[in-house]
Amino acid sequence: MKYFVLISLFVFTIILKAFECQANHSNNWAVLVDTSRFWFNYRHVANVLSIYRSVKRLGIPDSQIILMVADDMACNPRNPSPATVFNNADQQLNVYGDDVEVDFRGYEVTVENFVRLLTGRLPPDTPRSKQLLTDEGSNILIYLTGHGGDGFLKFQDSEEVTSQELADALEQMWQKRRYHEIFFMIDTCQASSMYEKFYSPNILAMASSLVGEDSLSHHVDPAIGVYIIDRYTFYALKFLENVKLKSRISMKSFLGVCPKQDCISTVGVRTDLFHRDPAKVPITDFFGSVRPVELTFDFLDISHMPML
Amino acid sequence: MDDNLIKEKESSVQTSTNNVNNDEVWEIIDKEDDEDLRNLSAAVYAFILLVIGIPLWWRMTEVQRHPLPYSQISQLGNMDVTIATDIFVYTKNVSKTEQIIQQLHTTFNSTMFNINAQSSTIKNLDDTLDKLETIVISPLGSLHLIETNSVDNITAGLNRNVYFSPSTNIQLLMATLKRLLQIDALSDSMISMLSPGKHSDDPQIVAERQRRVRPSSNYNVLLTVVNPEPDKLHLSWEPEIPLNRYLQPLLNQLELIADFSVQSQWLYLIDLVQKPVNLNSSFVLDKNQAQYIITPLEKKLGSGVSQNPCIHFVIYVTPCSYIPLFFHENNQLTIAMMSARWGGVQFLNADKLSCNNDSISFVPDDLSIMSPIITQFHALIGVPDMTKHVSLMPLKSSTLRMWQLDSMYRLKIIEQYTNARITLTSLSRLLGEISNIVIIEEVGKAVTESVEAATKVLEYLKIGKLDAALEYSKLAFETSEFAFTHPSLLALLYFPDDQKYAVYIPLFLPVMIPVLMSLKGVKKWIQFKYQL
Repeated sequence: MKYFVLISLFVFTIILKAFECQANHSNNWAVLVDTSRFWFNYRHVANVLSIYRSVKRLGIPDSQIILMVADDMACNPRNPSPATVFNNADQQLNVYGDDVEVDFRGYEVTVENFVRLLTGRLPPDTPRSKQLLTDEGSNILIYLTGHGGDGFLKFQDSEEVTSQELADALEQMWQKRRYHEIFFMIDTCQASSMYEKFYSPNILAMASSLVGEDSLSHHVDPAIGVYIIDRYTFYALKFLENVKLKSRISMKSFLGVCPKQDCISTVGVRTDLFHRDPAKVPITDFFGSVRPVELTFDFLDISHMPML
Repeated sequence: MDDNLIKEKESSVQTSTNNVNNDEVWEIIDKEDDEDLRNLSAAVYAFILLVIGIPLWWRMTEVQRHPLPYSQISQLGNMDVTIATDIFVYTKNVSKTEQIIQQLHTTFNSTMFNINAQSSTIKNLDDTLDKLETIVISPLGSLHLIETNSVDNITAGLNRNVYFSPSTNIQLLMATLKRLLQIDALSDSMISMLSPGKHSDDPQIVAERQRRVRPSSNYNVLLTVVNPEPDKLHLSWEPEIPLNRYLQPLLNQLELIADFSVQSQWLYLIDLVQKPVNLNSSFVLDKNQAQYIITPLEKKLGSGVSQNPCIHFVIYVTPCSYIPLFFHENNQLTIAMMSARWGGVQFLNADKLSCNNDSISFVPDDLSIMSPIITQFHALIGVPDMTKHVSLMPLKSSTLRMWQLDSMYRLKIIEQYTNARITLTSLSRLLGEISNIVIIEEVGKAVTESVEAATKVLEYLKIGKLDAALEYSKLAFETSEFAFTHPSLLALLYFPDDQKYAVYIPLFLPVMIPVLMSLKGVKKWIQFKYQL
């Protein structure tokens, strides 16, 4: 009897494991948003481009990355080296790269467009590359950076998205089966207030600072004259630069990025909505794109001319 | 002169006396009417503001909301799906026929299917299978069970016939029928959409569902031929001919389900990124390596011009230094692989003679390229693999057997109906919760149309009319998508109530305060007037 129970437990876990494997996503998307403009916010553009660079390097095609950048730092007349955006003072890593495909730029970066994008309510003549054409098999990485406060993120100095609006938009996505899992990342002051209102399942959230804390920038490049990247994203990029498409790094180690001595602010993490153990989720489930494949061995015999 | 002077004086005196008189008169009038006039004008102001102004303002700032059939939408959730299906049974023995009919009723009693089993009207069927295929014609959605000595086990025909030998176990026949009618797959696709996370216990059914492209009424099929070394190998092939010959008949068969638009393109000089391994004089890519070749390829394929889901087929011409190249898993080699919801990739191995030879161009075999594509296309659109459960009469064509097409119809009806139901429920909940969402007439009409179509789907399924049900399910799906994603829904979302007051109160308050304060005086005046 004891053995029977043990064996049945064993079989049960194997079956569970099998289902865990099956519950995989079939495609990856990324929504990367920088909400602030003006030259002194150079660092926010560098932030968003750092993440853009990483997800693109790890295989998400441009057609599945929605990049919203509120200002054009690379072509700003104050930029001493045009067509570049650097993430460090040594100017070793040009995060602007050779081919950046910005989907929403300048004054197109509005709360309305962002919510329209998420919920799929864009005008019918919007080009395919500016739409989030996800389905119930899609894993989405959402990265936001800009200036925020307790419960809101400012867009363009003129409006803001509240944490409730964001939570409602995500719930609409869930109800419409527009995602399988979401990894939500935000680098702003009091960042964790933005994910506190979330109530839809399968969302893993991470924020650069807790409520009441400021998110700090990393360092100034004297040649550029402004702060060039925020601490949290700087360390996240440092981590991601070491990730290869085939590496087996888990989300759990990414959630530990930028400890307090580096970030100064406390990195917030919310895992209660997420059903999998972050330690077992490869980082490429969100930052890369590895499509599940199966080999086809038996082909249909179609040798006859079909009957018309 | 004097006269004139006097007259002037007189007139000036007159005017002066007139002025005095006028002022006095006005003073008197003022004194009499002062109270009345002031109170009357205050009353008129108050009337215009309160009786005309406020309702007008209220009406004009009201969010436009076309009435929606909320109760009908919530009713959709309570309605069960029943698919009426005729099954005709033929055996040589009347009592066995009765037994099978009885068994059919008990087996399918608690399922989505409402089986109407009856004995077949066709007599003396002692012909060969080929003959039977041509004689026995059953209507759309039905099945014909025929006992015959020409088969050893249960065999599904090309039309809607299922053959079984006299020795077949009836329970096995029932289990096979359940498979053929896709009872598990249909309920799995409903459950998984209604409550994500739940699914069938059968891994094959779950895998088949996850492989299917997302529901849409239009699809693009893009065939890409990649020649990484056009300088070394010249390929002479026209994709149009085999596509028309092998794929088009299948697409014609599926025309009620969806529109497929087929395109082809050539790409050059694209590296495979992964390095093949040499294995017994051929080159192989392990399955683990194979999963990394799609994403780099995908970047170059282009995202397509339309919003419709795209099914990709990539024919990768093997570079000369790696001929022959295969995929490899568990000591098995193959030239083709497929990715769920995306499409397929296959290697085209040229003969070594045509490599580095300007005079010879390699001519591939149409059939060997198209058979993996058709196989994968079947899997991607959701044709279930029945080979493990039943033997199939060989069709040797890319098209579907009639019973397979019926299954596809049922699957699409359930998929589109469930999708429309989820969308409508979610939309009605959303609109109920958020009062600022605009519902213009167009959206309201689309919702009503969608609900009506969804109800009609259920009605037509109940009487077994699959073609009409499919048509309405498509309509329900399209209109519900249209309503949910209509851009006008968000038009006022960023003009919430508090902002509405913030805009109007500074405008109206300065006017309202004196008017409201004067109301007290007006009231006193009216009381005073009527007492007199």
